[in-house]
Amino acid sequence: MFDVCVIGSGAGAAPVVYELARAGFRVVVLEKGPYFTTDDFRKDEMACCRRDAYASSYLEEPQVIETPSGNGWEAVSTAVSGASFWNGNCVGGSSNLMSGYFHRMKPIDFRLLSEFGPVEKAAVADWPITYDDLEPYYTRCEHLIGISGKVVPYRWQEPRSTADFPYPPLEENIVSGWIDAAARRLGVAVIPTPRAILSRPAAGRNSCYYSNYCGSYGCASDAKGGARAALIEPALRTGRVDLRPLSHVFALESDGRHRVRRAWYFDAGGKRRSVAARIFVVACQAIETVRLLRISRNKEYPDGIGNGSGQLGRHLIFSAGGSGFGTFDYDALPAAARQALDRRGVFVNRSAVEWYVFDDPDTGRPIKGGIIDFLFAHDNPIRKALQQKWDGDRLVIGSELKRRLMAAFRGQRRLRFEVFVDWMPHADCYVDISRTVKDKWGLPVAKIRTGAHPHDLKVGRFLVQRAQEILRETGARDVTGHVSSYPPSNLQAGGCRFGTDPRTSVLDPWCRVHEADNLYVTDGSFMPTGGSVPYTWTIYANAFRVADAIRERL
Amino acid sequence: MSLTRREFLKGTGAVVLLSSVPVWMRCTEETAGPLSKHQAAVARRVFRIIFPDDGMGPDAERINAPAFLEWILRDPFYDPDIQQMLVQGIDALDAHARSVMGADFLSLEAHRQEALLDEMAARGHRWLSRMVTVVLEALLSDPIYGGNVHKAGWQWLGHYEGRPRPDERTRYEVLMRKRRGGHV
Repeated sequence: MFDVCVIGSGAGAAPVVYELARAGFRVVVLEKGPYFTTDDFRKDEMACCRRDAYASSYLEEPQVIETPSGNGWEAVSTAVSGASFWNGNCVGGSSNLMSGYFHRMKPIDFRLLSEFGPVEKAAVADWPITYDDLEPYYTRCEHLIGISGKVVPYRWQEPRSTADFPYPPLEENIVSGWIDAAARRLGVAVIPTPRAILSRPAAGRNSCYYSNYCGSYGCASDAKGGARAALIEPALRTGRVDLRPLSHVFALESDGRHRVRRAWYFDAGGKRRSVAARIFVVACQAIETVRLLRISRNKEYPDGIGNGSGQLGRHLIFSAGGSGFGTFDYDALPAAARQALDRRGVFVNRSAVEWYVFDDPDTGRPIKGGIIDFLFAHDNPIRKALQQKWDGDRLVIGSELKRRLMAAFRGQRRLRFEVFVDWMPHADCYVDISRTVKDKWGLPVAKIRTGAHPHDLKVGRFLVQRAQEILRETGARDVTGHVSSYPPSNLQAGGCRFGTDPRTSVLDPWCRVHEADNLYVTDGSFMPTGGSVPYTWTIYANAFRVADAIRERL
Repeated sequence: MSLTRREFLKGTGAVVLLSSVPVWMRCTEETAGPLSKHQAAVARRVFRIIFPDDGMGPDAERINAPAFLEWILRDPFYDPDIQQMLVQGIDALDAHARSVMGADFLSLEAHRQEALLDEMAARGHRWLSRMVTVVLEALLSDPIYGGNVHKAGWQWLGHYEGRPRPDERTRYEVLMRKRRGGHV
């Protein structure tokens, strides 16, 4: 029997594996996807992005997405739409493929309800822990995951137990200076964006080599602080971890006394196998974690494990916001600036943090805002070329297509922005189980209702406008921006909310399932609200916190 | 969930009838490949209209678009319905040419072939759109997949090449086999 069985191997799982293996416990890791090593991650747009080799197949493992349609909801399987909702299924999970824009949540994000009051038709709740509880673990991540950056004071800067990041900022493009100058003129706070990327070698990992292909790609130097390179592989070196890739868990078996006894899984050959352990940890990303707990229903848990109060799968959140870009024409720039702007690989790494909280223009009262990250438009050439294929509803072919490609690739560079604001938890965003669609193993798939809350669109609109003002001030032309209500599948959380009251939450404050004594959930699904930042740093930090609790218990 | 994937694709006006044998498992007598000689010739001509030899960068031949299409059609990991759609669209184009212009596509004069595709492009024709995607993938994917010969596409557009590039041990099909535990 193992001490701990961890299901999943991404950012929520890896800190538990790492800490408990190093503390001397025997850990088995069941990962659905294959084990791609660093060598397998090439700068190959076909593999990563056109054919999704790093994610599950939407044909073999569909999911059902419900989107608003008229007054109701339209449910379409991803096997029908072809629009995959997967985002990285392999050892290390989607953190292999992240861009690594790392922001801590702020103290007010832990008490959104008491700080700003209720929002109509939203299920906002305070966290059962505070920023101070998580701070030591945020700091631990800076060292273990490897976060580079520079602390710059501003109004909403969160308290830190250390003065600065352990790794200096990565190299920057000339455009970062243009953003700084624009921000100074406008009088708004812009900071260097912290990145989960090593700017110098550490812990057997190389530093960033500025390949120009970071997000959506795996890292060939292990500079990126993905869960595999930063935690799983060091944990494997303890000799106490049994990593089992291509192991798809389909049920947790309980013993009738509110304890999980075994995890059942299909191995690579489709054979049913099981493993026993003292403690079980589920971290399959929010949606799949809910699905596993739901389909593990049995006599003891007729509606799924942890669903006694009907809370499992509710309060799913994504990251709301929007995006846009402005264009710099090389012709309009002096030769030196043109050359510097054209320098590939080095980063923009700027975030506008002025409006983390702002006064609602409608009421004059402060409301929670968000952040704006600036970055270059992705250089994926096929994707870039495909953007030139349409002129409205007309398909562009022939010499006209070639002229458009020339202009898009040769004459300009696009500076993008991405806005991150809170995704209000509410009644029309949740994970359910499909009654009709099954995956290749015959298991019912997740059905995800993806309604957006109007409040998020309003906040998103405000920030998109501010982002466009900054872009215009940098001298970019044709600045555009839009707010999106469609959920980004790589930024998912919630579904197993943590809290002190079992009637309104699935997990206790230590992320243990209220109804199952030895079962923990350590991916992003514990989060009642998400803060207006990407989740990965918080998921890592919380998993380190829970790992401490499990270690003490063992 | 009333739609199946095939009905969904058909609903977009692209597909006539879909057979149940995956394209990649089919070989014709003439070519031992997924396309008949005639189909391959039609596809080649369509590619040259989508991406012509006009003195501006490489054309469809130079980036090996016809062979790249065959690679897509032979790929056991690719969406079989899209593969079917690509092949059947070629036949549908011939049928369309006969009904509108009274002759097979290849028998038409060049300007009439172009007019036919222009008219389809104006309607945003789904199959033609897929063929444009094939051309752009052939133009800008890693040369290991058969298109972008001698990096002609990358060089023409000044693309900044990422390193390390895929090799025979790490190309997409190998990763897909790894995903399936060695099984196709």
